[in-house]
Amino acid sequence: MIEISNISTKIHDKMIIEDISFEIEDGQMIMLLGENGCGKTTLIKSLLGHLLLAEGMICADGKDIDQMTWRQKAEIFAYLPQIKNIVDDIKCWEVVISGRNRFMKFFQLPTIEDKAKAIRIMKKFKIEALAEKKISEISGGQLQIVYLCRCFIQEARCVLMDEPCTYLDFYKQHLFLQQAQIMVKEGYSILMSIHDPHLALKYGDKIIFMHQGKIMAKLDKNTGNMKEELKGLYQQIYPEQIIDIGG
Amino acid sequence: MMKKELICLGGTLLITMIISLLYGRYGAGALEAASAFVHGTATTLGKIMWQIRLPRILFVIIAGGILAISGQIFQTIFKNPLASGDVLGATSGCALGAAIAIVSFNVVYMRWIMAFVFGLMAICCCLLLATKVKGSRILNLVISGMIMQAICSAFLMIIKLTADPYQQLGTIEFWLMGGFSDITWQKLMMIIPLATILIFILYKLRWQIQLLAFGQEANSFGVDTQVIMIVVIIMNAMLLSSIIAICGIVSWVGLLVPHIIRLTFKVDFCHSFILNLLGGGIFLLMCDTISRNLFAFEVPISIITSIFGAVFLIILFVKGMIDI
Repeated sequence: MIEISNISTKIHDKMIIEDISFEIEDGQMIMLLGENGCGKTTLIKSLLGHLLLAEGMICADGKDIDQMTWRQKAEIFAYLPQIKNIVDDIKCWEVVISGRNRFMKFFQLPTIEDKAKAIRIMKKFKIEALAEKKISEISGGQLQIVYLCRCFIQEARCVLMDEPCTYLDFYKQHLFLQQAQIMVKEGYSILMSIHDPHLALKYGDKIIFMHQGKIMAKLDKNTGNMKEELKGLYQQIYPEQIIDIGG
Repeated sequence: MMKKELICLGGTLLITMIISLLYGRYGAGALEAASAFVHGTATTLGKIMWQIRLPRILFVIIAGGILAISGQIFQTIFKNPLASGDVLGATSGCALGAAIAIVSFNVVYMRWIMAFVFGLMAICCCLLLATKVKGSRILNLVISGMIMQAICSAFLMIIKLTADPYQQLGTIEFWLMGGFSDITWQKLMMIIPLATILIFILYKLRWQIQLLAFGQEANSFGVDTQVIMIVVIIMNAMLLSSIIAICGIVSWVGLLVPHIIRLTFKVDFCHSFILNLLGGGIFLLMCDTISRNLFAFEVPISIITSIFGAVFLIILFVKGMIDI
């Protein structure tokens, strides 16, 4: 279990997220909802250690991850960024295998076994045909799945995804989330920021609702009616009822 | 697949080497030169080939390879197609350091050390400046590089003003244009151990360097990007300064060759490492051979590489192949 207790993060002396606490249990899909600029990306970057915490603590099984090296942190969190750095002329299987870095020695290059492993994972997500293609030649939806494979191969406890569905079409969104569920079934957990409440309700085990840098509500599939509660939340923050979450 | 490309480039390098060895200002036919070479240093021509041309050719190949690979590394780790030692101000920094050494000390080693210190300082200032400013990442780096170049050349002019016009000024001026005319076996041997070790380490690190291109993402799969970045930049500055201290400024190779290799072979950094080394060697050796044989006097190498560079950039520019 990963415990996030009372974390706050500042960017240029401005408090972006404040007093955030929640837990990530293994094998859960947690959806992070909230309007633009409410601090979802900042939260994800704070968890990764890309931004320094102003206050609070993140613990994995009781160990403070602030004290860990990048290599040890890679055991806890994998990351699927919203804006990706496209590396020139790199092949898809090489992007996938880069997730294996934490298992590799410093001077080591990916071996044939590593490549086979990458292709095996890509087969699982039905994109093995892309293995030898250049990363710059594939579509946005395929790119997202390639990155998902990279997160999978990293075997980290929890995958943090920053708006993975944003540039995908209706069908691809569902496809992506179904494939993400494969990971959850194998015991990994996922924390993703998302805008579409329908998708959050359909695939999420828990919903964390953020507003102006704070957690406004935590919803759980098992302990309440997430749909009704979510409806109530949207009514609170938006003046008019423009959203209709299913009848 | 890779083997074919390596053989192709290796073959080209060998042919260029032979041509470069056989032709020079000492007028002699190719056959005559070949036989003189085989007979060793018995004849004047043989002496020229063994003691002047051969070390020079080897040095030029090493220099070309190093310049190309350092450009390629800069382009990869900064994710910037315009990055190279020239653009980042490293070259100007090295030049300034070496010029100070020419004026103040008369030892070749000092030239190298000063070039290294100033080159590294220029890169660091450039990076610091680029990261402190908001805006386009790629443009910031290029503009910071331009600022560093301006500062370095201003100081360089001060050095030139204070230099002794009868001896030092000429040395600085000629050395700034770059040239391989005074390469000896001794100078070649000075550079070989360092170059071999550093290139070998960088070669072993090539996968990690490639991962740096993922930027901050690389942290999340366990790469300590800052440490590797610093190590690679320092090694790069050492390589660049060792070349610049001996043969002066050779411009454009670091920008040009990696692009040519990328456009021709379309492979990533990891697989293009050796191709870049060979490509840089071939390109610079061709330029040097031209500079030796074109006129009765030797044309400074940077003139030739700049002309090639400009033509190549015009082609890229017109065809719309530069995408930032």
